[in-house]
Amino acid sequence: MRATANPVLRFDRVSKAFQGQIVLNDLTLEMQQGEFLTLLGPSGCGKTTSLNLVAGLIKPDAGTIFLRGKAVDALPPRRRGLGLVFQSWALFPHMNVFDNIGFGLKIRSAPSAEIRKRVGEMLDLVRLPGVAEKFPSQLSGGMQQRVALARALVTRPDLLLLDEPLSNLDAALRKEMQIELRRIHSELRVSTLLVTHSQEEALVMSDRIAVMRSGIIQCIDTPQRVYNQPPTRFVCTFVGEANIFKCRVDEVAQGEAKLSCGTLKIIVEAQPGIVAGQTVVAAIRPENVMLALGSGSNEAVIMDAVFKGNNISYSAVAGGEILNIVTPPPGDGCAFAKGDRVLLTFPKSKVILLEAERLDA
Amino acid sequence: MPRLAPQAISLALLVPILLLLIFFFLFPLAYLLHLSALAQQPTLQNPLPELSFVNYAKILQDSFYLSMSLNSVLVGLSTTFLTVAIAYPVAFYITRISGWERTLISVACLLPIFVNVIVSILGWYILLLPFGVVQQALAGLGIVSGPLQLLRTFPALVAVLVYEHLPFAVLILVSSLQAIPADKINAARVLGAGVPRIVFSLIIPLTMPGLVACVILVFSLSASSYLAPILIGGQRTPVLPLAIFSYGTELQNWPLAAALSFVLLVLVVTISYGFASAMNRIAKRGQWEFV
Amino acid sequence: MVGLRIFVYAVIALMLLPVLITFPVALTATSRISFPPAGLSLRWFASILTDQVLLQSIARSFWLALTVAVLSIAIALPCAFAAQRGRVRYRNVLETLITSPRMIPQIVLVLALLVYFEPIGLAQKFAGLVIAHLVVTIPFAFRTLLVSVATLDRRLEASSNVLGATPLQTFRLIVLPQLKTGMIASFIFTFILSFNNVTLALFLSGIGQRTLPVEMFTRMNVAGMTPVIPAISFVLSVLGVMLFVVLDRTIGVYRFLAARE
Repeated sequence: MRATANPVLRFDRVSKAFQGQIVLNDLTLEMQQGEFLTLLGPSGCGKTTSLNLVAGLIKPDAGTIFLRGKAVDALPPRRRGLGLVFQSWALFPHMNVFDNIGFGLKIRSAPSAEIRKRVGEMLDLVRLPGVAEKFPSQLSGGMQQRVALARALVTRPDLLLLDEPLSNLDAALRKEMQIELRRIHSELRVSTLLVTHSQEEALVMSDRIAVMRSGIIQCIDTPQRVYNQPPTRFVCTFVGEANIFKCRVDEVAQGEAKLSCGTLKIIVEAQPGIVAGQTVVAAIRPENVMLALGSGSNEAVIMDAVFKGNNISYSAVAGGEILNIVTPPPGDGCAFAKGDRVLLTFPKSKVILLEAERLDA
Repeated sequence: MPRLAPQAISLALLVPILLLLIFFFLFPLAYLLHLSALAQQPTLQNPLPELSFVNYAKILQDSFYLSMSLNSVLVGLSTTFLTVAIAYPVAFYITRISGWERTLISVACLLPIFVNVIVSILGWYILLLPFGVVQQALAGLGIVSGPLQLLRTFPALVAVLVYEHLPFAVLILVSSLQAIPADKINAARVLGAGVPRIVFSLIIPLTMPGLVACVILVFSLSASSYLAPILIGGQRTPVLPLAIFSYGTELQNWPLAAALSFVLLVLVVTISYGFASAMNRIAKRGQWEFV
Repeated sequence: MVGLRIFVYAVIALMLLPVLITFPVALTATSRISFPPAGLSLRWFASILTDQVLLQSIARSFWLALTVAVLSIAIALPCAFAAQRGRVRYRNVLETLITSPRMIPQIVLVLALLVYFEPIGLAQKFAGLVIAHLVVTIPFAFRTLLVSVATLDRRLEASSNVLGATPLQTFRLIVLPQLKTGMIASFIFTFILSFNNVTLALFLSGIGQRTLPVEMFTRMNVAGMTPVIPAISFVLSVLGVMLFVVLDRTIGVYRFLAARE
């Protein structure tokens, strides 16, 4: 990935509580220079608090935050060299776009020629030429978003903080902006910390994703590994969908473990420490379950089939377990209908063995 | 740069206003209270006369002062009743219109607070002169002949006070009425309620807090009003503020003036709060009826 | 609704009548107040400009109101911030204290100030009058500004902060412009309140130092009134109407005066 030289951001056992409620609990995290890291989690998981701590808008109760290797506890927000974009964009309504973007430079007493040049560069970067004279109230949501981004980037910050910046946009605009943000990031190579509850945003834009729950990071890894090899049940179900099975280990032989859950038989690659007789939690994603007509050991009955345009979504029952299965659409219509008896296949490489959840008591 | 605790900054910002209020509001009132309990006016020869409640005794026993207090209360009550009775429908109408009509009506109703009180009183003075506009109109209709002594009467005083205080009432009631969500009224209409029923069962109860505030404000302002009584009411309807003014300035009897002002204060406050808590009790008791 | 409409317009007519009547009365050619006026002449309107005493009282009222309005905002604005943002523990007590001067009859307050000012030498001085006005206008300015401060978008300040501005710069460049409307409204209404105030000025202004309302009052009550008083009344009414219309069309009168309780 990136060079493991000085991390641009480091959380060292940071804790924070609000009115008796623990929001962050001993959080430790490292972010590398130039990477796009996403804090992903449901509301209340502590991701926005983490962002505010980095920005210096609030102070930690315990632990230290390091920016470029230096502890920043004593540093007020304005001296941390950061860029920040709020969900509501927070453009200054009484200033036009040019003054908004140039604000950071004006504060640093940059000469007006330089301000003009850099603001122009930013407007080109975010692809908004010609709006310099307009006021925020005259711009659409998407445009305001880009202006907010330009404003945060014009001072060439070491770290860019994005607090759910796409939540206020409609779906089509959101998709467009996800690609824009990715492009801007690769052009500027600016370290970016994104906070969001949208797993799609996280998957599309990040170099690494940190999944948070109740103030704790459950895993921090590349999008592919977070998706394909989630370490906990929470991560598995929060990022993407999954069929979860509580299984008994019947046999461990030749590097394989044979699991059974109700009438289902699942074969998975044996992990060290797995022994017969254990109870484990296994998961498989809907798009990885294979369906065929026929009968055999993993038999199921289709309960429902929904055509969703780019895929077909089935729900099936097998021995007391309900499964969700997703397949690409066949020629026309659905391949299977309600009441069909089908055979399920769980490819060994796609079955995920989950650890017990890493939650404090 | 050393960072000051936020609490210290807040307190520092509050210092000017606290100083102002303590030294020029609380202290003067305390001093006035002290004065009211003195036997005589402090003079250079006798700066610290003895404490005594002789002034309060005088006020509470002399029928002159008692009738003055009664007048003040009557003036206040009459003004309040008429003001609210007029302001409520007008405020209701205002909330139903918009644009220039609304501005026009608002101008007319709120004008007395945009110009000073003397202007309002002057207009009424001219209208009520013995051969003024009112007399001429009535004479023209054949109802009266000869000069009409309208000035210096109780009705004239109340009329002027209503005029003066209508703006306050309209302001409070408009914002109270505007706060009623339209969907509640629409729900009532859909259920078949006619206008009177909507007004009495829905609108009046929902604007009760505004009504109470209005009544309290108009009452306390009109009962303690000074200018209209002196210019229009005159000696025929003596009210407490007139005595307060005389004793405070011309007659230089500060203890008596102070005592009179506290009597006025107590009267106004007790009636206001008595009304407010009576209304609270009624509202709570009948609350479920209005749902 | 027709009945209501008639009622309302009747009320409007009655409200406007005292104002309108001053015009014909002021148009008289004689020096008596009467209706209908005897002869028509603009001399009384013109005499406003030559009546030195009247002109001085107008100037005095103007400067007084200006001073009071500026000082009210200067004192009430930091107070509104402290009340809204500071972690002051007794905020309710504070708010009650600040608005309490408006809860007692003004005549009681002015008597208290009159007797209080005498021994400390502020009686009949301009400073004393300013202080008295401040005591009654600051509660109002405070209430209005508190609403403005409460509706500030704190994310703007946070953004400014992260972009490198010091608290002072943020206040000057970001917060104050947001407060502009509230401050202007507060200024105008405080100015009006002070300009039109009679009771305080009546008791507390010096012998030769009358404000306009006091001058008008004295002539009505004691000194004998010529039609210049109806003339100036009419002029003031017209100005009041114009001011109201401008305010209503821009800021919205009900919104801000409603904070006045």
